[in-house]
Amino acid sequence: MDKNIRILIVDDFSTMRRIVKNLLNDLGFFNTAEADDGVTALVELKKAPYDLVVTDWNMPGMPGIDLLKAIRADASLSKIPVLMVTAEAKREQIIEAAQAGVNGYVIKPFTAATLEDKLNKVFERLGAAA
Amino acid sequence: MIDAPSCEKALGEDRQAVIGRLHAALWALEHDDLAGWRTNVDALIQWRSQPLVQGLAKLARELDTALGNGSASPNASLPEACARLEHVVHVSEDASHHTLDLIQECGVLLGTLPDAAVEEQAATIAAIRSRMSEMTAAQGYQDLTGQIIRRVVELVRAVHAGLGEMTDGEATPIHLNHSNRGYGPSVAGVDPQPATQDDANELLSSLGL
Repeated sequence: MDKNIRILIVDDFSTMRRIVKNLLNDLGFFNTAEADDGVTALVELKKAPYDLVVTDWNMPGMPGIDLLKAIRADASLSKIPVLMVTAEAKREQIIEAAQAGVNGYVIKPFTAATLEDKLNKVFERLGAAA
Repeated sequence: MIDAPSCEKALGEDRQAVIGRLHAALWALEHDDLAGWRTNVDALIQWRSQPLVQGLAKLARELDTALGNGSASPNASLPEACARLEHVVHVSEDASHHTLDLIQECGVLLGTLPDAAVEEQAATIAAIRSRMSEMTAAQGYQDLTGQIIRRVVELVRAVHAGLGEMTDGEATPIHLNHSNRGYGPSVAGVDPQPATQDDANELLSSLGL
């Protein structure tokens, strides 16, 4: 896996953005940027090319599920894999995210091992599809 | 609240009017006069609900005074309760960032150690790094508790706003605006059992993910 891929971390809590960033660093991914909701994430995604989005669901402004749908609806962004990392754990929400085209779903609280496992699965599938 | 003596007084004053309405309603019902029936019953309902509405408005005013601006009890206003809860979020956020600083510093300190000469030492350092990653992930508690507290703050603000509207004479139901934003973390004993990571994995797998 190319460790230089550019990753956008989206969460309204600065603690969680830092946690995800540090865990990505621990896995060797250092090329990251941050946004605090879907609106600022979309602005960031339009500014520079990204290879992965790791997003929360529950955020003021634009929530993660709407960000996912906006990414999939935009031809220039639609191929970017999206990993949802969220405390939203209702069955119907997981189904909604899957139907909207999410590539992975991590339920908070999560372990570093779970995040690594889900990232690997996203990359494996992308590698297989390429 | 509506006390019994005031009800009795009102009943005494309006006794004849009520008897008249009841007779008229009964007469209308017996003679298939639906419009007359409705008019008289509506008048009776309005008469009966008037003290209730007045009582509720008075109660809302009292609650607004006691909880809204804290004049009745200076340390117990709803806005102050919200401020205290938000302070808890900030304090736990600061503590969480401080812990993350220390974990990062430990990582730097580990990096200053000379290359492990024996395999056991290298394995120990790797095990420490793995545990530091889990310590980092465990700081996610701040995000989860913060989400729950913000949800309570939102509810308290809605109650405060609702009280204000009731005392202004508008009857708008108290509600939280969530739309697609999500529900936040599930709380045991309050929310339905949430899906676990294994449940989510199975569900996504059944959907072809």
